[in-house]
Amino acid sequence: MISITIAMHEFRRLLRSPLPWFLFALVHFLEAMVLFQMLSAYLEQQAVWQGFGITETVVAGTLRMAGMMLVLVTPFLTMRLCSDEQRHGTLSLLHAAPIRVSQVVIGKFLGILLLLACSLALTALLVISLRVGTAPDPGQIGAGILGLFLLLSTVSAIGLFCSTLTRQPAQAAAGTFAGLFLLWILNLAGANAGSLAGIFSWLALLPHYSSLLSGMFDTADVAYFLILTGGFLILAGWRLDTLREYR
Amino acid sequence: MTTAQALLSVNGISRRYGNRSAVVDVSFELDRGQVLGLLGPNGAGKTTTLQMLSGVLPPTTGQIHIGGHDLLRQPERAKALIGYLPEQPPLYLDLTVDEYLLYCARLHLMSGAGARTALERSKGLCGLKDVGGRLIANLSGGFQQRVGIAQALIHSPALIILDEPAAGLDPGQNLELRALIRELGKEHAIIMSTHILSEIQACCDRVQILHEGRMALDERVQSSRWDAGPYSVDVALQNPPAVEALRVIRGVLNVVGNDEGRFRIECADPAETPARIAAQAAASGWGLYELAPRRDSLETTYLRFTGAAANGT
Repeated sequence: MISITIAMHEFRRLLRSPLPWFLFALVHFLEAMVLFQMLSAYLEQQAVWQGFGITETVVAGTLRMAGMMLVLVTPFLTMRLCSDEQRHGTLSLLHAAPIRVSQVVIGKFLGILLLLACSLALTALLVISLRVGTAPDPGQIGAGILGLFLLLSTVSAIGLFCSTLTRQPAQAAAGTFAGLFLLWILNLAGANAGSLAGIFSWLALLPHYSSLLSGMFDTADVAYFLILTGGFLILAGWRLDTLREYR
Repeated sequence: MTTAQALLSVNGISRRYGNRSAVVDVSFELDRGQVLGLLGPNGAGKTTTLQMLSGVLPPTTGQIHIGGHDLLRQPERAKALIGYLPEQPPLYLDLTVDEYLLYCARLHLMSGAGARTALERSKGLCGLKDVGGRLIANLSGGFQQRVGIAQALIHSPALIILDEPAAGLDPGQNLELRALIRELGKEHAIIMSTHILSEIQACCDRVQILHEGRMALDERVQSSRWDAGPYSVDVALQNPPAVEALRVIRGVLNVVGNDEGRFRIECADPAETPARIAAQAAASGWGLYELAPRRDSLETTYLRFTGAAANGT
């Protein structure tokens, strides 16, 4: 219950800042451009796309681009979650209140997730709009949107953790990017043959998203995102708790 | 142990930052209806002490019980009884006063109508009725401070902890704050830190002086020592007689002397008795060279425990 209160508080404060409005306007404009471009390519070059449905190509392609853009945008949304509280001394309000640190972390996480879900709903509407002219596969769209949601919650959890590490929002954003970059690079390391290649490529972020995009609802992929998200939320909780010691 | 009875019971808390001790072995108890003023120079450990009492900072050693609940072991139960205003008011500048205070009320587990009533009550107490819809960022410093105080009161906690509540207030607001603290002090227990002595005398009934992290003094403000105590003078004599010779002077109630010819004499009458002492000293050739009324005010006490101690070392 308290987590919901904190979530709504964070959501409201995020909307008070012009940054999410600006970033989402940009992302959705670009998403629409991508969809339009892919759709026209699909229609003009029927020969090339022979045998592929519109969901596999246009929808998956749009969602892939949307994923990339939202992943790049999310660190800017999460950067202030805890660093601002440290900077403005509002953390003591939370620490002096009769609530647990875990409730604070979950509340903040749900708050950012709510904001991203709003953006995701718009993205979903965008691809569903293809129904005007054709019949995209709802199952595959669902799996793609779910994959995007899981991907963004993992990025949010990493961003939330990074913003507990520092008082400077910019530093938190940079840290989140560094973490994402690492998870991306692992993919490259996994591509090289070697005894650890399997582990590396399993740890990498994007392959799990890709398989969901292609409509494959694999519990291993879902588990990957959930484990990573949960892990970073626990780290964020620990960090918030130790902030009481070293202020 | 008396932890079960007192609202706040502090048992030997210390706090170290690395090698530096900020607070050393502080113990005291506080009950509803008491206003405790925490006094001390900058860096004496006031803020650290208050942070520990409010559960924001865990003490290195020692225990804190609030309403019988251990602040470290049962933090949620203990913290439900506390309202805390930190040195820097914990404000979200991008919210309106109403939004912010409602959020604070909900953080203290109030909901719905209860939170609304509490909001109106605390706004009334802190003079915020007219600014409820304004953004906190657009308020002046004094109003922001009041919002911070309202935040500490909104859930009517049994124990209110105020760190420098008068910071940034103008003299008029300051008077209102004192009246508010006296009013709240009838039912709640209040701890406030300040370095303004008159504030302590105006609204506290107990004072503690912290010096270099240790508690140097813990006394009632209205004790005989500061207010209704006997008038006394400090007398210095070049050829001091035996103490008995001073005692027999009419109007002298008590004499305390030291080796250097200095005496503290309690007088029955603030005018007549010193005059008699002077006359007797002149007649007996005691060589009176100093006769000063002694003001054992909070100020001298404060200086004795802090400034003087610092100069002496």
